[in-house]
Amino acid sequence: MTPRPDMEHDPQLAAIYRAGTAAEPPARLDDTIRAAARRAVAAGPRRAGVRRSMVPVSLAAVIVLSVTVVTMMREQGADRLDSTTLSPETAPPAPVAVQPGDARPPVVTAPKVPEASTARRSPAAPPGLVAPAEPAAPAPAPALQADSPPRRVTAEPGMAAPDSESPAKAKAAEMTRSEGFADTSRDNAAVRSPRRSAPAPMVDAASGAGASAKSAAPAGNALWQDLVLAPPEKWLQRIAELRHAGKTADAAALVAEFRRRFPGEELPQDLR
Amino acid sequence: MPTDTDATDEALMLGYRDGDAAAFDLLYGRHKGGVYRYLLRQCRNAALADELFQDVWMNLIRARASYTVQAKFSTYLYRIAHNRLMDQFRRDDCGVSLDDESAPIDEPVAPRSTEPEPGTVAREQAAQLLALLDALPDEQRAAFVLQQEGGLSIEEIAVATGVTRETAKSRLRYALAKLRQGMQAWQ
Repeated sequence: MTPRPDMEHDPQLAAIYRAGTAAEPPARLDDTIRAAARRAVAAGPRRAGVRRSMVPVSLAAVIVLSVTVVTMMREQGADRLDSTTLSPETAPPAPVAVQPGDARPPVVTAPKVPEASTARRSPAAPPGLVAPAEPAAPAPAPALQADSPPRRVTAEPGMAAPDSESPAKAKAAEMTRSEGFADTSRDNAAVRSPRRSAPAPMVDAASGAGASAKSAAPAGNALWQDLVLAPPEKWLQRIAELRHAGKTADAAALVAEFRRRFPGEELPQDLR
Repeated sequence: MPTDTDATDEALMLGYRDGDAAAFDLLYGRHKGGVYRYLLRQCRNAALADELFQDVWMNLIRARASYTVQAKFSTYLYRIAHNRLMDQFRRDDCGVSLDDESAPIDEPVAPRSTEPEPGTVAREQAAQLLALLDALPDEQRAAFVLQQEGGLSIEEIAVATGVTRETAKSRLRYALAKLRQGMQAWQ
């Protein structure tokens, strides 16, 4: 065999080598390996599927987490509001007999209120799993629910509500509530209105995580809901109208609110 | 989707990675003999070769999900085989011979003086070559067998065995030189 110029290839040696080597793996190994390959393929889509589903699973986890956090915030806010809601200020009493010493408004018209509150606070029901804003009363305020963002306004029984508020009014009321304009401690008696039998919207805790007790106070008093953005003249006009109609309690409540809102405005003598 | 029998090894491996079991069958059919013979030549033990052979393909199956085309498939496959062999050598402490390019070349086996049948000559030539091959240092033998069985180039042999191109080239040259010298009597 003469040396070849190509030192890395030798066709003659290669031919001799191929002629003498025909060893093949045993058939049982073929079967074993092919079976293993098929098993791996059969199991493969699961792994690939897991990898592919990582993104949607992550998104779903984020969504669930977000909903849970929002729901918890709403629940906490609702609890805070419950105490306020059930206070005479925000839930003017219906014209039914109230037990002396009972600070809560009569729940006769809305017997499910305590249950709903209890259920919401129950440790057995994680806040994140409680369906948010379940109206417990049979007649929620549809206008507000339909026109306002659902995460902000929910129907709660036992609260005064405008029966047929326009969306603008609802929005204004919501702004009022979130701004915390309503002072619930001063005009409890004045706010009481016979219109309270219908369920009303309440401020949701989602109106702001940083909402203080002041902002959480349900200022949804129908008396001045539509005056939130109005100039002082409109307020005075409304006060005069109320007085003229003989609604002195409402007029007084409105005057109190007027003074709070417009401390620099002089109240006309005849309205004092 | 039927597997294309003319597809490249790389395409078949990608197909298998994506769940085409038929692609693996084709791939296996193409390379099983070469890999098996490479292992058999290197460990010189049929039972051990069987075990190593199965391990190599199992490793390939396990690694399929992370397979990307970065080199020829055969280079990738023989790299797995080489690594498995090295693991076995270390475990058995049989010691892979160092770059023993200066190892003496076996004396060539003289052909028979009587006139043999043509088929017999070919078989005897092959037997002589295999005997010479067994006498080579492991690295040189590996370089030669990888070239013959896997069709690997010098660069691919270097990648498969984890050495530089020059080292792989040197090993192959030494192997060929020794084999040629040993086969001179048959010329």
